[in-house]
Amino acid sequence: MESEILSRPAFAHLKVRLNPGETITAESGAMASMTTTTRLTARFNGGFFGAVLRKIFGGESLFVNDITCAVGGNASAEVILTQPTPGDMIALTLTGNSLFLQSGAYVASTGEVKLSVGWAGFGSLLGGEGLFRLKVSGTGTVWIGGYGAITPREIQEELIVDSGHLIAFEPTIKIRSGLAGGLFSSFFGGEGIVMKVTGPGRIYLQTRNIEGLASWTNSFL
Amino acid sequence: MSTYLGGVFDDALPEGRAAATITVWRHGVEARLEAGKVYTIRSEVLRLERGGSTGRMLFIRGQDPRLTLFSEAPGLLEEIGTTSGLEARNAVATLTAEVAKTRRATLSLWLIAAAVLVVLGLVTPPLFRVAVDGAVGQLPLSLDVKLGDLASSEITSFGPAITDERAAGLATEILERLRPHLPPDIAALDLKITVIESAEVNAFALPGGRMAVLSGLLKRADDVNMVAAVFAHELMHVRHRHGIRALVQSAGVLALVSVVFGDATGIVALLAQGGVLATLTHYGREHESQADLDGVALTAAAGFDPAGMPAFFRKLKEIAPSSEVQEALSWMSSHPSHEERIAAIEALIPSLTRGEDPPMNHTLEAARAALRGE
Ligand SMILES: [Zn+2]
Repeated sequence: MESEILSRPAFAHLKVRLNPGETITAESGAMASMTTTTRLTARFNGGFFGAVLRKIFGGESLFVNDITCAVGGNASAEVILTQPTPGDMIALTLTGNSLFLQSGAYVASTGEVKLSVGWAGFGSLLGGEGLFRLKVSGTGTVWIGGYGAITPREIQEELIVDSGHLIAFEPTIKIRSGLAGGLFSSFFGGEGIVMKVTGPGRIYLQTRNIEGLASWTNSFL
Repeated sequence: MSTYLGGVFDDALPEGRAAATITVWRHGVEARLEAGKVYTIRSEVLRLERGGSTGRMLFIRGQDPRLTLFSEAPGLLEEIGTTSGLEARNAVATLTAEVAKTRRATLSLWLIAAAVLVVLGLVTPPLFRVAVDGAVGQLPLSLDVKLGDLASSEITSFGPAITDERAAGLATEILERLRPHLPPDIAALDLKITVIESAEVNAFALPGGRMAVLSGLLKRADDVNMVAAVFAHELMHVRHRHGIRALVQSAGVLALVSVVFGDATGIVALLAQGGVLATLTHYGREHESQADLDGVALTAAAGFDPAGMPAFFRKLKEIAPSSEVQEALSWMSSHPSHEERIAAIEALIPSLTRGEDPPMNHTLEAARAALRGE
């Protein structure tokens, strides 16, 4: 498998060349084009309810596509994967470690990467992103996309992060919700609820914030 | 001695961290990287801390500030407490006391949340029913079709499709005889039935009208009326949109939970581990009686003998105890054939007007011969 992220950083998309039998797993909406030498099979990521609720409530896509090079010999297949927001994409290597992803950040992963839904702790509750996250673990490569540029950051001491900017974090990161600068200025100053992250560990930030993305949780009532 | 999955933070590593397997010895805690490198933090300098996203991550540190071992594996803390030296045991005791304290705080938070849920739960059930009906009414029928399509790939997990015209043709002919007697919007759906090779006595319909009958059912049914009864029952699940109703019902409970916790995706995903078919074809008792009564009326309207349905239920009961094949029970386990159900169906039958019964182009006998490979 060869891969390359093109048109960085504003409109990044992923080009993958698959050798016979190789498979890449991609977020269900990510496939922009693929050669006829591929075979695409949909699979529920996190099961059926997630896929259904996505339809009903319009949340994140919880089912994924396995894209396989279905030909033999010297042939190969090419697939272009995109992300819904204009921004950068990065490839992360997992070597037995795992990572929590905010909704929408997952683009694709190699076959050996396990996708699951993991409890992400109470601290993540108030950020509007919910208690659970897509968790990627195992060995292989995972591609994540963000709105704007993506910057990794090593956390040792506590850091205040706007919840809309945090797109991925290692499980060693502790997240607490808090108010930025006291009750009064929080409610009247516009910053409101922030996340306080504590290390050790690494977080990934996107430089822009899609405000409306999290507000869907209220839209079905 | 056990090993625990975890990792190491070390500034000297190229990425600053690496996955590791952790082992507890009397003299200290050891972390081994896949590359072979081994770190040891000796018992007498060992410091422990809980943290991470879930609060369950255990951080193990020694004198070197650049080195941290971490693991979320259950049992590691206990093993340090029992295996390591005295100093490490003290560290465990200190941490356990701290954890107990925060746990009490978290517990009271949960209790408050649970109380809120209970109050909401008392108020909601009557409203809930109305809400589910309303919600399903709002959802387009095309959604049923999409859901059915999503699940349809699971049909073949029962076995290969049988294409022999004698069997497949019979199933289609029965379905087509029932179709005109369905409401127009349901009759207009792409109703399709596949015969699947399997010893199980079972049949099911997915939302949107894709159906499957397992060949065991065709083998065990006495006549075409019994087969038609099962199809009609299943079609009524499609007609009344029971699959999507079950989903909205579960989703509704989750919506409630999510309002309290400000979260939807995850709780949903947690409950989502079950199979697709199981979700879409597991109906409540109310749905079953509705499918029985409307189904038996459908068979009569289409000219089949409505007595086929109660007869099939009795047949299932009769096969079940004598059957050595546990699978023969499967339609029965998803459709418990209570005496009351049979009684309710039989009470309805006299009031039904049976439609015209034209001769069939396919016969159950020929289908059976096909299934036997003759
Ligand atoms: Zn049923």
